[in-house]
Amino acid sequence: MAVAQTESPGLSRFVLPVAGLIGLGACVAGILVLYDPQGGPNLLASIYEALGNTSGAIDLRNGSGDQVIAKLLLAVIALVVGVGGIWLLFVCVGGLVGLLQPKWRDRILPWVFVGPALALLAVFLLYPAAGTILRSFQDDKGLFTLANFAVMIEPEFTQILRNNAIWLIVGTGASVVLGLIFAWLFDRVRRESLAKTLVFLPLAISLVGASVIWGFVYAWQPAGQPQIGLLNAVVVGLGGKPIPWLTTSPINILCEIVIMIWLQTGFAMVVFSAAIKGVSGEIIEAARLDGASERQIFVRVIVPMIRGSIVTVSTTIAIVTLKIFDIVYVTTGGRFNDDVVANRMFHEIFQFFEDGRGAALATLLFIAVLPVMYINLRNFRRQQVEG
Amino acid sequence: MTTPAQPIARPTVRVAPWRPAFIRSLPLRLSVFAICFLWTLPTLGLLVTSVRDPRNITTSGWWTALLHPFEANQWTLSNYQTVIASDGMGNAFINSLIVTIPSVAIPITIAAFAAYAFAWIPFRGRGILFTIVVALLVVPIQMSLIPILQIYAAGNLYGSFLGIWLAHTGFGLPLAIFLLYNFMSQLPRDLFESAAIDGATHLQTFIRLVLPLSIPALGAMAIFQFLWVWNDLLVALVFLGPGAEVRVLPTALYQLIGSRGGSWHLLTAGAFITMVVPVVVFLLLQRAFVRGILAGSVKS
Amino acid sequence: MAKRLRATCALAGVVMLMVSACGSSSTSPSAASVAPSAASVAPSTAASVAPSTAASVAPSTAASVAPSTAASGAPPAAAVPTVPTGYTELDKALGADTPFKGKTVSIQTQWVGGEGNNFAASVADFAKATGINIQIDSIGSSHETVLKTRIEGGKPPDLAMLAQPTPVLSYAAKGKVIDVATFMDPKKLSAEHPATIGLVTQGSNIWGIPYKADVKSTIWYPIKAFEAKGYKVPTTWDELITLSDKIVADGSNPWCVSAGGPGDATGWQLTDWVEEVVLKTKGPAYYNDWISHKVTFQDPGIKEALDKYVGKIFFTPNYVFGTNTAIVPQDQKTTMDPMFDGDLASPKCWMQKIPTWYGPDFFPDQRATSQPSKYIVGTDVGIFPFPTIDPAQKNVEGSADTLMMLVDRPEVRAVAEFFATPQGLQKWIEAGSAISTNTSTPADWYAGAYKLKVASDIVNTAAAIGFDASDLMPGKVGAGTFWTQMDQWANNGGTNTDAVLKAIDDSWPSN
Repeated sequence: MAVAQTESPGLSRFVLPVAGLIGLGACVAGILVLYDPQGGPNLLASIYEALGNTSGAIDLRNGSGDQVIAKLLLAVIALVVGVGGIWLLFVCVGGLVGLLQPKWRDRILPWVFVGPALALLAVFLLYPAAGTILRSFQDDKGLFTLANFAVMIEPEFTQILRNNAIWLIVGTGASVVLGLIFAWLFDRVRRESLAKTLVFLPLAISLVGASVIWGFVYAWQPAGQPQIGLLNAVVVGLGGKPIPWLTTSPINILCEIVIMIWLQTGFAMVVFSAAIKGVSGEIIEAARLDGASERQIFVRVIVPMIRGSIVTVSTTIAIVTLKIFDIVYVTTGGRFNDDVVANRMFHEIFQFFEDGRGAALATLLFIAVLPVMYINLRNFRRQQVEG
Repeated sequence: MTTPAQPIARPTVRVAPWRPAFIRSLPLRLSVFAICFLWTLPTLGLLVTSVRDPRNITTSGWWTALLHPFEANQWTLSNYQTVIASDGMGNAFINSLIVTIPSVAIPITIAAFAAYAFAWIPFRGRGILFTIVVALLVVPIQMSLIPILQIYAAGNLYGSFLGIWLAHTGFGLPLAIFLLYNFMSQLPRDLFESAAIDGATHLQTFIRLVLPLSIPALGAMAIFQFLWVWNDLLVALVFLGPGAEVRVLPTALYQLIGSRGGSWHLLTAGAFITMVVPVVVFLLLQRAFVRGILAGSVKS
Repeated sequence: MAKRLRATCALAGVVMLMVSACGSSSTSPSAASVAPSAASVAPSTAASVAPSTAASVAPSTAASVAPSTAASGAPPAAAVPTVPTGYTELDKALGADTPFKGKTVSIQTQWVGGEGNNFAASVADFAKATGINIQIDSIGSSHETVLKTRIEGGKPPDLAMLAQPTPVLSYAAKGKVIDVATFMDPKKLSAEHPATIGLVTQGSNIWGIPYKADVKSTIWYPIKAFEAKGYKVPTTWDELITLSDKIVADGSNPWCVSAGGPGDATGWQLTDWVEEVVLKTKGPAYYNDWISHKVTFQDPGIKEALDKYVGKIFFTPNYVFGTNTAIVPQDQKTTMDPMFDGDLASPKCWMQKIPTWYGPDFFPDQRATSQPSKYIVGTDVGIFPFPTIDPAQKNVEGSADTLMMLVDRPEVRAVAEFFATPQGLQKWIEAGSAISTNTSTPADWYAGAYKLKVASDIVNTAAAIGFDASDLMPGKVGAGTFWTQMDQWANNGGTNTDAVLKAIDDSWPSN
């Protein structure tokens, strides 16, 4: 950490940016290779030619030969250019800015750090979001209208709102609480890594896989047929009648939420686990010496200390539940009084070709998320003050 | 897997004098076991189904296979053979790796710089910008596809790996910045004060101090981004296109499964094959989550 | 997985079409007889098509049958049309100098798995003969999403296959679709696809080429078990009810009914039932008015279709296997499984109304193993036409897939034109699982395919053919409330007919 002062202020301050500029030049060349649709094969072909392997080079240029190697080469370049280039960019520009007067340096430096992220976000998310909001106030001819927001006065909309509220409260609450408890419990057992891997597993499963898995849990057959669904097998085993879990409202919403909890708890647990590891062992040890029970330590010491993580995870999962789509789409399509905003939006746009109404629903989603953002902003400010 | 030595004594081994440790920790062990069992049960169904004879899959519950595990003829690996041997699966696997690795590394690098600035460099508009970044989490991805594709069509990025890396970077940034910000902002302020006194620039502080300390958060974020990209179907279909050259694993699996029949035997085997890589990545990155990294580095 | 299913149902259920393809099979007098009936049902746009049909079908049928007949017995001829085909670019493409050799044409379809293979086989010979590289983008369940994104994002595939006419017209309204009438002879196109071209015709513009057809007025049953019990295939509604009662009296359940399940595709089978009954009780004019909402859902005729006919099947005790509460949750893939009990010898349910695209893909053994089913359609599992209700209304229901052209290049035109010829579907027909919309398709291609023969018989004895009404209604109703409300109706045992019909009417878009 004290290295900074040992560098000779004159030379190295200039060597670094200059070397960086050379690196940047290499990156630009790399990006050109990446941008060219035939970049990978052509580059490898040139290499082959340089090595004297002319036939291999010709094959490559004709779209055959070692295409896999060409692809791997492309990926390596991407990694070097992508990660290395960004580092160079930050280091060089940061270094150059460092040469400026402190007054200017302090003004410009933060923008160097957040600049690339903001630029990408502007293109990939902000611009489409703005377009969507704009579209929600337009009819098919592009004229201003409020008609799209008629979705709000339709009877099913209240139901959709109710469903999203259930998702938000039950889904977020359960995932966060369970994630927290799991992280705490697992932290105290010897086979922590195994336990965490098992709870984490659902995250690794693709949506297709998850839909099959839960198909085997909720599957329903008429009474008298063999039940291949786990839950109904249990119900029938206990002498009950099989229940069509996914088509019976309102149980179906809870069944779908269970799938999300199963997926998201792993996420919450991983983040909380990392945070709990960050809580100083000395503090915990001190509390323990004071005679606090493990539960008290958890509630009084650990939870307050990782409050930031809890807010973060809650926010993330709350947003996931607000725009929950795929689980509903895959299990029931929202057809059994279990529709949610994002699923309806998807249907309006891609099935009913009602782009304006879909955009209106997306706009309502943005609005719904404002309170969540407000809480975050407040939390952010508090941290700035306390921090 | 092995975990590095623990710098801090584990609470479980603290023995209350009047009861043996084993009994005392029994409720804990039992509840952990119960949680793991419950959470793994559905996945176990997937695993069992994927090695069952396809004829049994839709006629009896998967657990019935476990009741008489030694009837060898009910088990088969043919589902896996079918999936692995199908056309273009190897190519799809390589494509998936090529798409995924840069799509994880690039956004996390960019997000780390941004998160540091949001957490520790004061500048005008910081709060509002950060709120906008977090608010962008809510943008439904389906709304982004068409405008981005328009840009790609004009800029000749459609169907290129560069295009999909950028897309995954853009879509992954809000969560990455948000999580990394959360972690970095909780680092003790003293660290930064002493670094500033030492004359370190922000760049030096970030590289030498913040990055090493943020390894757990970086690891967690890398995993999430990896999973999202690895299992993604829609973004790949839209920006890479469905052509055989650039097909990724989920696309290849979908095309194998067919539109009508159940094909649950192939679905389950395919789902398990795609799971392997993310789980290995998770196990490797678990090292990042070990207690003591933070404390250890601060002391040194 | 459910997404895949949805796409399937979109393919099968959603579109509509009629089969005119088998018009020239041995049992039927001539293809021309189909045309008037089709035109009378299809939406009003089709009406103008009718007159030209009768005139021009006959010659073209004769012309294209000849070469393929000559080839029979010899090794299978390549599925490539004979020059002159009547289409400019297609003739060029098939010319000796193969001017389009090396060009690529992309086509996006929802067909994956077995259907994908059949489609690939259908274009293989043509690709070989012309040197055009036909790139098939089989998307499966995400087809509609990806297609819309690619079209509006400015990177459309050259051609796309859609199961519904409604989106074709929506894209056309946005100026995204090439009018094929600008380079193909509209008269020839209309004459050869008399029943289906009207779905994608607006004035002088033709926004797509009909490709593959399905008949929906079919009921599947176990042939040998029927014989063993002495059950006769019913031809009238009363016979159907008598048979159902008899099966109940014999201690079984006559009907396998499912609403689709799991996921997004739930409900279309129920709307098919209603459409079938409306066509068979009220006829084509009423049916068309219903599609355009001149006849509301609360009209007595629709209410009668639900309460008197569909409800009779669904809600009579012991009629439906698992009772009416099983209809909605039942996975459509497994609906007919109870029929296969005891190797089809002791069925637990005896009849399912499902379109002609159904088949061995869905039989329990093939579904599980992906190996060809041991049950043969025509020997083990049979199909009979949905019985007549009002003898004056011998109408049937159908559906069709449409090819839409999105990029205009000479080689794309050639491929589009190829799909307008019978050879564009030949290999798929010969595989026994597709019916062409093209009336000039040689009858012998269908030879030996039981299912296709049944379909053609149904079509040829039909007075009129109605296209799936829910596919022609606004998406919000046809793929929305009509489905969901029918689910609720089935779940409630038919006690809420009025409320259900009012809810559908209320959801009809006001503009």
